[in-house]
Amino acid sequence: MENYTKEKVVSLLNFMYGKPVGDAIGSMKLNFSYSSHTHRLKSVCIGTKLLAVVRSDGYILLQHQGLKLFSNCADLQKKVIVADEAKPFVLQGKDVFAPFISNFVGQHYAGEDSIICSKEMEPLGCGQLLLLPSETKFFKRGIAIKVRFGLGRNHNAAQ
Amino acid sequence: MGLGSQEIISAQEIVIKCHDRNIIISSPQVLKFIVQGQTIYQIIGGSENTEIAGSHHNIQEPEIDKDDLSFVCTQANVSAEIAKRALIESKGDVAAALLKLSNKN
Repeated sequence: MENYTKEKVVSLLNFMYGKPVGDAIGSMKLNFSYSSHTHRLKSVCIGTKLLAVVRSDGYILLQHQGLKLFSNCADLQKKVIVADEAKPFVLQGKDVFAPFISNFVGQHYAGEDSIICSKEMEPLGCGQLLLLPSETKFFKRGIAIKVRFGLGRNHNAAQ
Repeated sequence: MGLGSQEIISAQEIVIKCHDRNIIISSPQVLKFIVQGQTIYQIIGGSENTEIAGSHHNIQEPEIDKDDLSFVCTQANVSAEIAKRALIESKGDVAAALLKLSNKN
């Protein structure tokens, strides 16, 4: 059961955030917590570190501690690169507006969760894409990524 | 062509930093144009040298965080020395270090 859950988590993370994310998390000693009512997977942890939580639709969302593991990782296969002007705001967890998106690495869809990186390939946070990559080129205003969390904020206190 | 103003810049050395090497152009002639609002630099002549990035004065060992080191030690079940080496090889990337160590085992 644990092996099956681990494989599922690894494949889902690889699918959602690109190859090294799932594989790297899969190489760790993970703890899974399940719902007492539905027995469904709720979260993925390492000790007290919360790496990811499971959404009600089955998708897995990377959390602050999970993304922090990739803070020096330059070869994430799926990421959204934002302009330098937007970097401090993303780190604070503020949303990204369409003109500040520089590039998309990998294939992205509207509505999916993505890792936001700076031009130096340093992960800044995670957020939900609201526009298609092709649409962001034509939008001069409006939110393009609804940021869930930025790596600049200390989330340890919340846990 | 719409070529705008031309300016000659007296440069002593130009270093183009690439991912794996640095291209050093000594005593070049540099011309600066402004064409339709965009600035274009043209480098002419000079002697060109190539050096591998980080070959001499650029050697920098990445700073290894103690938390990262202990995390890699416990997760990969390896000694601190092996974990440190893996972290240095992966330039401080915890995930890459763990993947490297798990592939070795």
